[in-house]
Amino acid sequence: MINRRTLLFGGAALLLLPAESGAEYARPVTMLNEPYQTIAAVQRDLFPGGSAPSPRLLKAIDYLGGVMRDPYVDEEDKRFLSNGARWLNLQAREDFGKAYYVLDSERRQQVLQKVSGLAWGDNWLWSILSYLFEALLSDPVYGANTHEAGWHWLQYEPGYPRPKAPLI
Amino acid sequence: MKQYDICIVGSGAGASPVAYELSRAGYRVLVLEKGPYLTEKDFTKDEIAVSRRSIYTPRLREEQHVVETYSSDGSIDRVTAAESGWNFWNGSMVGGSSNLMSGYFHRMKPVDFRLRSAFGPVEGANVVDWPISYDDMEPYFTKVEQLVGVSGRVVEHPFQERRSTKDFPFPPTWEQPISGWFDTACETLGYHSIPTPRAVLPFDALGRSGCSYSNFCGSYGCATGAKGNARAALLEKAKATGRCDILPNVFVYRLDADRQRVTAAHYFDADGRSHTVTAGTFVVAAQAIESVRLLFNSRNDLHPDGLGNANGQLGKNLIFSAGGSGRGRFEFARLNERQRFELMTRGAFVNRSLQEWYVYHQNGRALKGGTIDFLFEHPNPVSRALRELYDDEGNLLWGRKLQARLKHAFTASRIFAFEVFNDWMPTDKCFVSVDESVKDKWGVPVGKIRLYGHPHDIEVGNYLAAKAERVLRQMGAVEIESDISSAPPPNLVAGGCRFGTDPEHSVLDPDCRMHGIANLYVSDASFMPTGGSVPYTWTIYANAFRVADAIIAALKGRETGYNNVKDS
Ligand SMILES: Cc1cc2nc3c(=O)[nH]c(=O)nc-3n(C[C@H](O)[C@H](O)[C@H](O)COP(=O)(O)OP(=O)(O)OC[C@H]3O[C@@H](n4cnc5c(N)ncnc54)[C@H](O)[C@@H]3O)c2cc1C
Ligand code: SF4
Repeated sequence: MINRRTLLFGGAALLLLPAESGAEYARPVTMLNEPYQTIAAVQRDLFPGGSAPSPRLLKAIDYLGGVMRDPYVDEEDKRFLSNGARWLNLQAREDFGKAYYVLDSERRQQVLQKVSGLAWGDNWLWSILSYLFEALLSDPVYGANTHEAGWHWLQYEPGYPRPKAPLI
Repeated sequence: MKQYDICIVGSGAGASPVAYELSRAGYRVLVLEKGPYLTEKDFTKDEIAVSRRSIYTPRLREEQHVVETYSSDGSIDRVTAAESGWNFWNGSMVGGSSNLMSGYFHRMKPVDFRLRSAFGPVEGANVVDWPISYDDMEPYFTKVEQLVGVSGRVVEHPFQERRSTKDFPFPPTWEQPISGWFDTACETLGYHSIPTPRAVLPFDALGRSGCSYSNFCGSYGCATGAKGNARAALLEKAKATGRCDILPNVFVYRLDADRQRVTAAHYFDADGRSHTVTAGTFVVAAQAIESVRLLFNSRNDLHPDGLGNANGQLGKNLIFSAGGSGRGRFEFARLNERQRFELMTRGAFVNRSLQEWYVYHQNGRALKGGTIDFLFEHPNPVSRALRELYDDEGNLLWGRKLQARLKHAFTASRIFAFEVFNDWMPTDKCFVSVDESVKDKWGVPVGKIRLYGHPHDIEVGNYLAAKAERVLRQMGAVEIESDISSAPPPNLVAGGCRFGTDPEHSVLDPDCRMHGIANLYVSDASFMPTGGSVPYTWTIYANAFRVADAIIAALKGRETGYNNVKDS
């Protein structure tokens, strides 16, 4: 399987994908829209800056926007990413009366701690972290891992040849 | 319409030797492949596309399998791959999954061809001897070394198989310094360290470029042509004869057959239009599960249960490579500067294996053991990072703790791993059929896989893993662990169209021609009644060269002689 963009680079496949698959993967999302507002806050809490590159530098939330449009990611998984953000906010409201992203950092950690003990929560945080790791360690052609910051942080050298364009 | 002598379904390791030999012998060959035609320039080391999104395999909601397993009370659990994400596809493209292999190549050993005679029956398993011997196959193993290109170095060890040539035609690829640590550990333990043969060219040869040591070999397509994949090694050369046409992006959904011959193949093109091709001889090599599926889906009034299924044998005795994997960690804190530098050498191959226990004795009985290959953990960074997500108590990590763990894993340690390959006992409980209620995007019933791993396989796998762990300990690794289970590796699959002399118990004759259908051959791993305790691809290639000779002999009205072998 291969997509239209690869076709341009010499592949011979005829599979047709939605037009947006050829556009930049991590193009900016509208931050005030859900699930992005909640997930961006969760990304910051799961992976704070400091010695490691921050989710903001990595463009992790824009990358997640790409995941939401990615024809290779199962629709069910995309729904789960959105639903998880909703359930996290329900939990935050139940415990502290406010949406997750407006709580103070200590309370946000308490909510994370609580949901990580629930089956859906453990799965959801795992998913969020796995796409965050993609933003941290993917080739910058996908629009994340800005200036190869993730690779530098982990002293990682990529394999060659590197992709010249996203294959998806 | 163009006339073909041979029509081959699939273009991987089982298909390409037939295309190569027949086109060079002057026959007109057509290869039908459901995946795209990708070449060296299409392959990059893009983990997101290749490993995280699996772009080389079909999307499961369009094309999938139904998977059945036995629950503890013996009832059957059924799940579709679209629901479970359980992917039994391996690589849909010209050259098949051989494009993505790591190229660990081992010959099967003489004892693998007579498992039943050598070790007797195993309760609940259908162990048989092969209808041919190692000596029948040896010239073809040699042919693969020379034409596909296998690099290595022959060393003496207790299970070194007979060879008609002294050494490999190509020297080993560039090796990791850790291979020396491995050799020293084995010497101390009294084990025979073996340089692992590899289907990788160390330098330019055979009209292909040598290895660039890209560090990303297994699961990735090769951008130089050094990997002995079916397309680079054989199909391009078949095409160059001018007598071999390769049609990519076409899915073969049915073969028509009269009482004794296949008359046509039907396929859908990328636009969903159906086409028909005729040929004198047909060869199915779509990988074990899909080959069986096609033969079931080709049922007609004369073959109501599917082609080759008059005796209910089609799809039976599906096997995988049994065993599992293990690993240990080398911590920088325990190493001196030189050792750290050696450990972090990148790109070179470990190239080491052990076959010390290919046959071993326990409680007074001889048991068939297997092969252990040693390697570094796959360099895919996202998968490596994901392995660090839980602490030792199984708690999900985040924040600074997670970051510290990642930093340590990537910059202050390295994981050395092993893979165990032993026989998967063929049984009545593990087989392929089709599921009429689940269709793919073309409306064709999908393959249904019933899985069962015999407890014997796990016993042997654990025995071998304990030996491998001992080597890792001797080398100084920590956090050593292994997982041996009956979980099947989807990429190492065989059986379903057993070959044999007796049509009651096999689907193919010793030439891999279908019993009762004179012009239909199956040349992928489906023919294997038992799998040997090695990865399969060298055997698949070798056997497909043998099948090519059998087809040429049949076309010339000659006998191969294999069919005169008595059932043992
Ligand atoms: C990641 C990975 C690593 C591996 N590493 C090793 C290794 O180190 N050593 C080793 O020995 N083996 C290894 N293998 C296994 C090896 O690739 C296979 O054993 C071998 O390629 C199987 O050959 P085949 O001809 O049966 O199938 P394939 O090579 O998979 O070819 C089958 C082809 O048939 C096509 N096809 C299927 N159905 C149809 C249809 N209906 N119509 C048209 N075309 C169809 C498929 O698209 C595919 O291209 C590895 C495999 C993978 C995926
Ligand atoms: S260049 Fe070498 S390491 Fe890279 S994929 Fe090809 S054979 Fe493997």
